[in-house]
Amino acid sequence: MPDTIRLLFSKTGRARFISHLDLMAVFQRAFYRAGLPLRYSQGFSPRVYLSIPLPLSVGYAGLREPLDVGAEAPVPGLDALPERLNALLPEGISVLSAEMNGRSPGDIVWARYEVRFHTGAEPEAFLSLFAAPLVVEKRTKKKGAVPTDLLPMVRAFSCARSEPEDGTLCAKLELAAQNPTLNPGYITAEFERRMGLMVPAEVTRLGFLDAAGAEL
Amino acid sequence: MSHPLDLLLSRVQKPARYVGGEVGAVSLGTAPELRAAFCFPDTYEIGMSHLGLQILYGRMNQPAWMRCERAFAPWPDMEALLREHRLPLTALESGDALSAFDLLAFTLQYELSYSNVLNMLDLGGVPVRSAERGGPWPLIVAGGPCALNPEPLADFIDIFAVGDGEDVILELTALLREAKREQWDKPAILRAAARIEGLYVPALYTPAYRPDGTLEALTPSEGAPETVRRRVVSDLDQAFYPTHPVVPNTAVVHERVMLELFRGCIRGCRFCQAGHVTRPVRARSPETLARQGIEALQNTGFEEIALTSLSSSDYPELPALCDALLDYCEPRRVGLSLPSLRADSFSRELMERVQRVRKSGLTFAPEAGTPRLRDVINKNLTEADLMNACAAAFGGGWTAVKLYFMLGLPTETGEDVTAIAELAHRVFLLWRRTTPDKTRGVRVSASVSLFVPKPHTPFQWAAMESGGEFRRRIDLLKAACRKQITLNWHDPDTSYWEAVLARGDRRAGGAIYRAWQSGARLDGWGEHFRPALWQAAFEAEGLDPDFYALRERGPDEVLPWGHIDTGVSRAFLRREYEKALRGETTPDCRTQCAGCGASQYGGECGVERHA
Ligand code: SF4
Repeated sequence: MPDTIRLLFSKTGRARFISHLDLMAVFQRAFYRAGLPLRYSQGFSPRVYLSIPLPLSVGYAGLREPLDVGAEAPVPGLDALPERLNALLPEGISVLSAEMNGRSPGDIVWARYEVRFHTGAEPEAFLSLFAAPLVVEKRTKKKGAVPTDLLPMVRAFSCARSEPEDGTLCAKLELAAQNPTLNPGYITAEFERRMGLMVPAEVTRLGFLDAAGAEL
Repeated sequence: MSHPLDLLLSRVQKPARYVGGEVGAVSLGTAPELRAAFCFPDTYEIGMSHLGLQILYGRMNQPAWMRCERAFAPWPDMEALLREHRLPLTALESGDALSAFDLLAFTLQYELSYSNVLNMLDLGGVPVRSAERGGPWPLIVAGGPCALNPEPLADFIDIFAVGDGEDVILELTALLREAKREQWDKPAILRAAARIEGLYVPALYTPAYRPDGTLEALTPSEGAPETVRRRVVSDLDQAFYPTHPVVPNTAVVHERVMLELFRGCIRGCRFCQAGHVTRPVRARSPETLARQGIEALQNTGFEEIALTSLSSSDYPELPALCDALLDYCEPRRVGLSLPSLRADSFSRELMERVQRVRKSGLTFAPEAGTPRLRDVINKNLTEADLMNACAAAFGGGWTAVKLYFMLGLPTETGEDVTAIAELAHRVFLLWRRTTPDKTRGVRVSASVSLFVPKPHTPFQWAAMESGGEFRRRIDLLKAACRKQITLNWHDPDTSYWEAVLARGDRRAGGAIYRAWQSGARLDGWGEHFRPALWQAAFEAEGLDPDFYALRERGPDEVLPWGHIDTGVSRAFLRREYEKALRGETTPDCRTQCAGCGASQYGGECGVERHA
């Protein structure tokens, strides 16, 4: 296994509108500037090995997002790396921690989300979504959109009025993170459709769980 | 609570272009005395690729008492949402509406962005016409190449800045700071601004027209000068350079450090406005350039550095500079690009060094297909130069060459048109003879733009060809091109309206207003450009756009931009035009000074004259 630096970062505020590809370039430039001994691909336009294994949809915030970047050798002094990188990153992108060779991204099974809806509705309205099979047209890579029951991809759900009351309804969701992925957008869109909500929900990915339900 | 704009962002394409927060952007801090916004009347992706924006943004954020933010033209999807939700166009840094600023500074890079200027003002909550803005704030200033014929935008812009902007903009903001403190009214501010060299205040000038529609006179009042002299920064080594440019968070046209080797051009191609209005040549030293370039690379993390000047190979210390930069770039995998090399000075050795990191295509600009027509435009490049350069490139393993040409140049004949195809074909045949490896194939492309006569050039008097004639010549060229040549050409309608606005007078402003009102937006974007709106707008104003685009001007005609003094004399331009029509060339400035008038600004002028 080649050496890899695992970062956890947050993407909040207006930075959540930076797309996945653009975010890769943002990190790439920060790494260049930090002068890290990174591993490069061969060939015409060499690139660092950089992977954000579970891209966030544009517009979603994330609080503990993993990122892996290839290193030439184990990098010492990683404790100081977050601060060094944060001075080089745009507003709203912040590195929380850095370690060598973290757990495999393949261990991630569930993603935890917080979703805020701009509505005066009571929590029951949201919870009733899950009372019966929740069948929506879900996009697949191979077959296009197919009707799919989302419930098997939902590990947990809860909902309450936001505290302090700010006119929003706050839901917590644990959804399949990969193979297959359930984007919370399917659930928010369904709720917004049923309730006739015009203002889109605010989605924050809080973190990830492994198969045993332990925080990664 | 989040900014109201945030709720729209999830509903537009490319939302990152609206959010700011980039590395290098100014932070808000305490409220400054003067708030400015640099307004780029095109998309974020275009504006953020522009060195001038980075220079003036950095410059206007130097004084502690002022702060400069940025604003760009929204894409139509965002505009629709802003209008639907009655939200204003805002500056990226603070998210405040443009109407909240003291100064809005536009750059005019392209005539087909004029509708965007009006649209940005309107969306920002600022009355579009100067006369409709009661108080002085925000004051609207505009600079850039199109400010050299300011008249078409005279109804909308309070003050034009002519020439290099980095000094005059701070002289203006210092004046505005005083005006704010002492609560001057707008006429007082405008009168004071008109006394600053390089600033043109159109409200202080009254045009009169002759019965034939040409200008009779443009008469200044209230002490405004007869002519407005272009500002020139003479010592570029001392001039501000943005070593901490703003680094976009989203893909833009050019993500690279841009190093300006020099301003001005020794060449004098007769169609080229930039080459005439930036005279004389003023160079940065290679030491300064290397230091600034490396600093900017360190501060941005960009993977490319481009040497941008009108004709980079005319920089005498180019090899030394490239060596210094490559010592830094090569081990760090940073590409060095040289976009404007001349074929006559193409050095294979230099190019191979430059291309060691990343290999790009090569471009050369013969501009015309025959030696006769190249003499007319004073493009002193021989076919032998071009072939030598291409042979060196093909021998060195290059497999793509792009050739730039222009159609519709004065005196062009059918023979000149088909000669473009033949020249491109000879380049292809040369590849077959000189390439070490035929199996890799080659791409020879000819990119053809349509000649638009520009103010302050020898061709400022010339007629442009009509759209129908351009279509005929494009067809002729298409028929003459072999299948091995990839041919691209510009849209005749786009070039026509560019020409109308480029040489328009103050009356064109009424038509610009109408075109904008009827929906003209982002006219430089093919998918949004609707020439019928412009045609209708000119007709409704009782103006004939052909009068501006297609008419040959008489030698004594009062030109709408005649009061803008670039330092290059009208007599010189006229002499050059007449020589052009006779097919006579003029040597470059290093070989022999042609007495254009720009020596009044110092620079390199006169040095070689005595040598
Ligand atoms: S004054 Fe002479 S040397 Fe200077 S720019 Fe004009 S022609 Fe060139």
